[in-house]
Amino acid sequence: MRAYVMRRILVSFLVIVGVSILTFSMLHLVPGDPVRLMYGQRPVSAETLQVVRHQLGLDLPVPVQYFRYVSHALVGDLGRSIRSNRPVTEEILSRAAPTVQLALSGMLLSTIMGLPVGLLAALKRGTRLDKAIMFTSLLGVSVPRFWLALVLIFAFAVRVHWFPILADTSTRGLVLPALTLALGEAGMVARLLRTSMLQVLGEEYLVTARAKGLSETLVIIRHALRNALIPVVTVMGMEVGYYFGGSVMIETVFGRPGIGRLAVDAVISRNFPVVQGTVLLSSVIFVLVNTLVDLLYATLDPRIRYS
Amino acid sequence: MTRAARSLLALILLAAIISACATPAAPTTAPAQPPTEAVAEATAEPTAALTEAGPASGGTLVFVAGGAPENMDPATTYGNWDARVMRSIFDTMIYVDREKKMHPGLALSWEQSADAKTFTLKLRQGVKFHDGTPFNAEAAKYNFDRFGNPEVGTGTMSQYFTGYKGTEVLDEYTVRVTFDTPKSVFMYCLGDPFASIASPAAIEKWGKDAGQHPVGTGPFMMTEWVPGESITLVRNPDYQWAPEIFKHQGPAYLDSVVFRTVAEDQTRLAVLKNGEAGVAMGVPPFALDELLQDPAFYTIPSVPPGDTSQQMLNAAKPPTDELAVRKAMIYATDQETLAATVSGKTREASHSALARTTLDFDQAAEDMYRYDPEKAKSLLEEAGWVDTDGDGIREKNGNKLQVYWPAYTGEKTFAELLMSMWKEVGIDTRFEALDDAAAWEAAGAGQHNVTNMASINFDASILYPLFHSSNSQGYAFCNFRDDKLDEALTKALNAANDQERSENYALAQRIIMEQALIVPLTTLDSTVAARSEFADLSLDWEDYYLYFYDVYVKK
Repeated sequence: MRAYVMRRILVSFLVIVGVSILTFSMLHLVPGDPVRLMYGQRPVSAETLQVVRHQLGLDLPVPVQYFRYVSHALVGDLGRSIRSNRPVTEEILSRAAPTVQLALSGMLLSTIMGLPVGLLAALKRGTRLDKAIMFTSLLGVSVPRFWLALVLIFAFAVRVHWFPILADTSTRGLVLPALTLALGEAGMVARLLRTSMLQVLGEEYLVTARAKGLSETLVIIRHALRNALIPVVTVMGMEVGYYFGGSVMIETVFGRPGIGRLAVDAVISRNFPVVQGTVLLSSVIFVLVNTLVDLLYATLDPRIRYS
Repeated sequence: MTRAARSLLALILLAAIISACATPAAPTTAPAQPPTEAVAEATAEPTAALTEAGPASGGTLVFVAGGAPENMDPATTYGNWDARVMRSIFDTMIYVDREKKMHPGLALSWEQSADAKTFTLKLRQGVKFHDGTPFNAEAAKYNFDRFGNPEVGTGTMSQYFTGYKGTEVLDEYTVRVTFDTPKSVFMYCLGDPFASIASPAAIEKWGKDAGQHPVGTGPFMMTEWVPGESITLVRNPDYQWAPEIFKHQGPAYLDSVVFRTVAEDQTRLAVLKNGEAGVAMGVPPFALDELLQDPAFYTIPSVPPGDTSQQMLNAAKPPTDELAVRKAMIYATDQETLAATVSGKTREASHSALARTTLDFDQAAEDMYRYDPEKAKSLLEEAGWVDTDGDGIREKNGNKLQVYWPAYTGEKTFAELLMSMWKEVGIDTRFEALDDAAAWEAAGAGQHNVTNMASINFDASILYPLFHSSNSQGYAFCNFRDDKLDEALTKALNAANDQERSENYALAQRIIMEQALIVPLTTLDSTVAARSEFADLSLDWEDYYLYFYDVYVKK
C-alpha cells in the first residue's frame, strides 16, 4: 500500500511537470501578444508597449522565460498577473473559496438528490415511478445549464424574492448557483446508480445474503448499494474537474468570482502567468482527487488490493 | 464506528468545509435589501419629491457592470473599468463641466504660458488623502513625475505626458509643470479620471501592489476589494473640498457604493429589477423600452467619447489598397440601420472616426459620407470592378472583390448585417471568427483587409496611436502613410493653443475620411439604467463616467 502511494505521488509529480511544460509552450505557440491586446481598449504608442513587454520579461527568449518561471515556481512564486499586477497565488486563492464552496455544495446537492432517486428507480424498475424518474433525470442531464440558470433566476429571484442572484457568500446566495450545478449532475448520478444497481441486483451474492436471513433493507444497503457505488464514485471523481472548471458558465451568470472564470479570462487575454497558475492548480487537484478515488475503491470493495 | 455513523460524519465534515469556505469573504456591510413597492410611489413625481424631502444621508448603492477593475494605480492603468471606480475614490486637479468649461478641483487656479509649455497650478489647501497624509505641492509633483517617467507611467495618462520636463515646487501649494513641447490639451487632461491624484505615501507603502490599494482624496474610500467580484467604497467623512460643479458640499450622501461585476446581460437586468442593484451599466437593447416605460426605473443615455466602433481598412493590402474600394465600402454601409437593428437605442450611428462627445470632434468630417449604395456601385465600376460571371461578386483582372476580416469574438452581432450590406454592392467578405488575441495578431501582421477598432478617450489624441504611421507596430492597422496626416496629428499634439489643436485634429479627421481609412459604424454602448429611488446620478463631462457624489436615496 505504501509503495503504491509513493509511486502514485511520483507519477503525479511527473504529470504536473509535464502539464506545466505543455501549458507554457502551448501558450507561446498560439498567436497573441498579451500586451498589445490589453492596451487595445485604449491604444498607446508602440514605445509604451515595448516598455511594458520589457517590464514583464516578455521580450526574453521563450526558454529563458520558462526557466525563470520554473525557478520562481519552485519556491512558491507563480509570478504576477499581467493585467492586475497582483501575485498569481493571490489571484487564485482569492477565488478558491467561492469555487470550492460552489463545487462542494453542488456535489453534495447532486448526491443527496441523485442517490436516493436512482436507488428508488432501480428498486421499482419498470414501474411508472421508474419511468418518471428516468424521464426527469434525462431532462436534468440534457437541459442547458445557461438556460436553467436564467429560469431559476427568473422564478426564484425576480418573480418572488426568495433567493438573491448576486451571491454574497451566505448560504442563501449559494442556493441558486448550486442548484443549477447540481440538477444536471443529480440526473447523471441517478441514471448511473440505477444501471449499476440493476446489474448488482442480479448477482448471486445477494441471494446468499438473503439466504442468510438478512433483512431486505440490509441486503440492499450493505450488499447491493455498496457494490453499485463503485462506478458512480469513479465517474464522480472524474467530474471533479467539471465542478471546478465547468462552473465558468454558472460563475458568469451569477456574477460569482471563481477559478474557472479566472482561467477562461486569462486564456482570452493571454495572461500567461495566470493561465499557468490555474492550470497548475487544477492539475494538482485533478491528480489528487483521482488518487483519492483509487484509494477509495479499496474501502468500497475489499477485493481490490494495492500491491 | 458503524458505517452509518461514518457516512454521517463525512457529511458533517463536508458541510463544515462548505461553511468554512463561506466565512473569509463575508461582506463588511449588509447588502442592499430588495426594496419593495414603496419605490413606484416615490417616483410618481420625482421633482416634487426632491424639493419636499431633500437629500438625506444614508443608503448603499450597488452598481453592476460587465467588467472588473484590475489596477487602480493612476500611473499605470489604462482600463475603463478602473477609471469608473477611480472617479469616486480620487479627485482630479480640475473638473470640467458638460459644456467643456474648466472648474477648480484640487487646483484652485492655473496659468498657462503663451507657448503652452509651462503650467502653474495653485493648489487647494486643507485637503487630506484617505490615509491622513496632506495633499500639497510635493504630492502633486510626485504624481506628475510618475505620469511623466516612461519607466513608470505606462498607463493612459502617460500618453499626455510625452515631453514632460519636470515639476517645480514653488511653495507648499504651488507647482509649475514644464514640457519640452507645447501641450495645449494639458489642462483638459487633468480633468480626466486617469489623471487622478494618488497619495504618495500609499504608493510608496504598497509598491508593486499600489494598484490594489487606491488611496485618493475623493468623496469615497475603498474598504474592500474582492478580485473579480466587488469593490466596496464608503463615504469619506472628511470630504470638505467638493468641486463647484456638484450640487452640494461636504461628505457624500450615500454611506457606501458597491461596484459589482456581472458579466451576463440578463443577470444585470434581473438584479436591477429585483432591487439587488441600484444602477446597471450596459443594458441589453431589447430591455431598454421596457425600462423606459416603467416609472420604477430611469435611464441615462451615454455616448462614450473616443474612436467609435469602426472597421479599419488595410491600405497596404489588395483590394483595400484601392481608394475606390475603400470609399465604396463606406457608401455601402448603412450605419443608421446597423445602430437601430443591432443595438436598439443604446448606440448612435457614426459617420467619422470620432464620437461627437470627443474633445476636438469635427462635424465636417462627420458629414462627408451618407449611405448611398448606388454611389458605391458606380465607384467600383469606374475602378474596373465588374461582375462578369453573374455571381453577385465583382471581379477585376480575374480577381474576386473579396475582403478578409479576422474578427473578434464580440463581432458576430453586427457582422452578418454588415457583410450583407457590402455584398449588396458586390463585395464579398471572408469572415473568420477568431479569439481576440488571434484577431489582434492577424491585424498586427497586416493580414487583414478589415479589422474592428473601438476605444474610449476624452479627446482626439486617440487618433495618434491609431493613424500616425509611426505606430504601425502598435495600433495603426490601416498601414497608411501620408505626410499630411502625420503632420496634422503631430502638430495637434504639440499645439500651443486650443484653436491650433482643434484645426489640426479637424484636418486629420477629414483626411481619414477623404482617404476612407475606416468604415465608421456606431458609437459605443454604455447606457446606464437606474432605480428611481436613487436620485441625482450624473455622467461626467466625458459623457461616460458616473458621479456618485450627489446621489441620495429618495425617502
